Amino acid sequence: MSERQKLTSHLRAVVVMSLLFFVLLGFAYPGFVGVVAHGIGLGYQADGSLISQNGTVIASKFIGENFSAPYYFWPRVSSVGYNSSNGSGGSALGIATQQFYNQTKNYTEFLIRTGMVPNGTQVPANGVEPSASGFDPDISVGFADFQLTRVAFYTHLNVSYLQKLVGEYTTYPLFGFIGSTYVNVVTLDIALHNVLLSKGMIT
Amino acid sequence: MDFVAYGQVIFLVVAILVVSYYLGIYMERIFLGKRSFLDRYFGPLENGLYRLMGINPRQEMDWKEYLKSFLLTNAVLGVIGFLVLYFQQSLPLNPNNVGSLPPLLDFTTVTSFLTNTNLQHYTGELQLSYFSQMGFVTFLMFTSAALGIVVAVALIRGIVNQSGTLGNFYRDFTITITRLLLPISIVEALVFVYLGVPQTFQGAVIAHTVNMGSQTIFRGPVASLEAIKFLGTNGGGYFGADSSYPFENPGPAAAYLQMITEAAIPFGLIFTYGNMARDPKHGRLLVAVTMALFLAGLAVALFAETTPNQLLMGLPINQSVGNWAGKETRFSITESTFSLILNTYTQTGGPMVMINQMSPLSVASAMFGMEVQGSPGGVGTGLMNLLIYVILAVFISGLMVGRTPEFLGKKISTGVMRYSVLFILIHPVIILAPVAISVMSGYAGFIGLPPNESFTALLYEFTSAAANNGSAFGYLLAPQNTNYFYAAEALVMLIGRFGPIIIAFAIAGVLANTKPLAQTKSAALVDDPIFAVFLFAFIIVLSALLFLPVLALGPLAGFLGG
Repeated sequence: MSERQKLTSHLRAVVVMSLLFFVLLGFAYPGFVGVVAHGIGLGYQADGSLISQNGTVIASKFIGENFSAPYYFWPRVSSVGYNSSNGSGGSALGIATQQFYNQTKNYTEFLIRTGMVPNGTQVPANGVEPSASGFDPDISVGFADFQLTRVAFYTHLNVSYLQKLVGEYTTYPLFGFIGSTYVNVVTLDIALHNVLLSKGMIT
Repeated sequence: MDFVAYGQVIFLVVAILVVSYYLGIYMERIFLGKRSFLDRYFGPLENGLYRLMGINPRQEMDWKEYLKSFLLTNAVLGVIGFLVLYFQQSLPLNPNNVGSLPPLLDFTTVTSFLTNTNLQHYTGELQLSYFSQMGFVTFLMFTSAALGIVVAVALIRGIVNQSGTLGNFYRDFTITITRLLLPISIVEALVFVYLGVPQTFQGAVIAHTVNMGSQTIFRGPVASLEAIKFLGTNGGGYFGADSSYPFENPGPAAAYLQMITEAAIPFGLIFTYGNMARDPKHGRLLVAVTMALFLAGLAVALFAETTPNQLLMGLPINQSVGNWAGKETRFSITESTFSLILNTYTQTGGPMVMINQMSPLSVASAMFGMEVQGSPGGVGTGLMNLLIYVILAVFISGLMVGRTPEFLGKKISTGVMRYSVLFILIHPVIILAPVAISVMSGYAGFIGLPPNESFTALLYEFTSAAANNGSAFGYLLAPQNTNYFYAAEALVMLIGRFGPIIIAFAIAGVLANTKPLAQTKSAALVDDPIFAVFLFAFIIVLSALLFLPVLALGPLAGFLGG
């Protein structure tokens, strides 16, 4: 074979190989996974773990929302404001910068002012430092506890009831050591919302 | 750090070692072409592919022919990738009606995925169609991983063979996908779906939230991308926030699966190399050295992340567990930090944290991993880097004891040494030169960042591009200079990928034509634990000599209160 013929045969092999794998890996594989996932009963997860109420999608249990009314448990600080049209991601401020200090200081003071907590109470770092994704659906148990007094005051529910509710939406480490202990604040607040609705406290 | 944190680290390290050991044996079997019961299932598919390609999988190639097919494949894949991105607006599977990207960004993005870098200057959920996420991102994640692995296999064959040939490129590439990457990805993707990662072709859904607002929930074929993202040490996210986004990484079980799979092939290939070189002890010692480098980097970062942020000490904040900034609640601080270090040391680059919110010391440790590149490094390219370190260390230690430097029975010639030194020098040049040019020319104008952090961001960006890592340090680009950065990064990624690979092929070619010496005592040098210690120190000293000055200007100055 001449050099030219050799190159032509290589080119043919490469083009055919690339196109075949383009179809196999780019389309057949994702399509296969999607079809099998729906076929073996994983459709709920595959469609985004959506939560519906009265036929309307109200949330995904994995995507944090901005519950800001005082009778809800508040989520973590989000640099995109839980607004997905802003994209996703964490804060651009390094943790050793003055801007970060100022931002954290202001929010810490706000949480203490609105928290109705005894003098000298510290805010858990989880509640004042921004998440990585901007859509963290969870808060730490410490931050949930910190908010109990305020939520109890605005909902007129007693603290022990709220503690029980928080406990229902708490996930503990897998096998006792994998992962952290965290409270899903999306599902917690939806449950809280329904309690308040049933008591006629909100409409 | 408490008892549980140690448990998490030990569990992950042991799981990574066990999985990569067995995967290493499996990879040895497929690359040596040993018969297995899988032949019955994969054989007909592979033979069909070979027939359509018009090639003979048993035809051996010398290094030049192997390299030629390798480069040709990259060129064709680059063209396909560019066409997919460029025409995404008019292609199907675009339920969210996203537009096209600027052409220069198309080019940089193609470069990024072709080189296994996955640096992303777009927000996936807003700017890519499902067609692009599958036919561009997922597709190139497979091929760039397979192309990295075949380089390592060719280099191993060069070291072991005496025939002058390195195997058949088309066969190596095909079986890497059909027997390694694709089957594991299918199973892993389904497990991800079970754990909560979406896999749907329906568009975004608008949720009407109970607090009278609305939330657009972006989704799509995420799980199939996620599996190969880690298995192939790619790291590019479906969503802008990458592996911290709950749909990409819904909980601790998914996170552990991701971390174990991203380390499996880089460590596994070292075992494969030891076995194929018929010197498994040498392979195990190299695994020990790379794991030691990784654990050293991890220790520094864990110390930094579990220490309270000094700046906030005066505020009424309970920092008893450490730095929560830039981390997700469902993972412990230890796990998030492990992910940061593993993603930079394996050149995956999709950690579940926001890197610029880590402590400066953790950032320095992460950058060190991208500077070393071989601890264990990306799929294939990591082993390639490690073997060059081994060759250099053998040569230097040979000089120190006054013996002819030889490596697994083959004399290390002047040619091999010359290539190896050139190989090592590419990396610092393509990091330091563009950083210097960006600073001196004033292109690196940042918005709202203090000077030290600007420098760290700039250094991080080019280090990540050069190492084909792809992790990003916050929002780097000053809008008025984006074109400069797109072009500069594309160039750095291309040189950082193909420069070392071309040299590695040349080394493989020389070694494949070298006849082994008669067995001597010094041949066992690389089996000696003392050599492992020497190699460990050699890698640290070499990287420190090359990079300590810039690290001191960037993250280390930040740590000391810059």
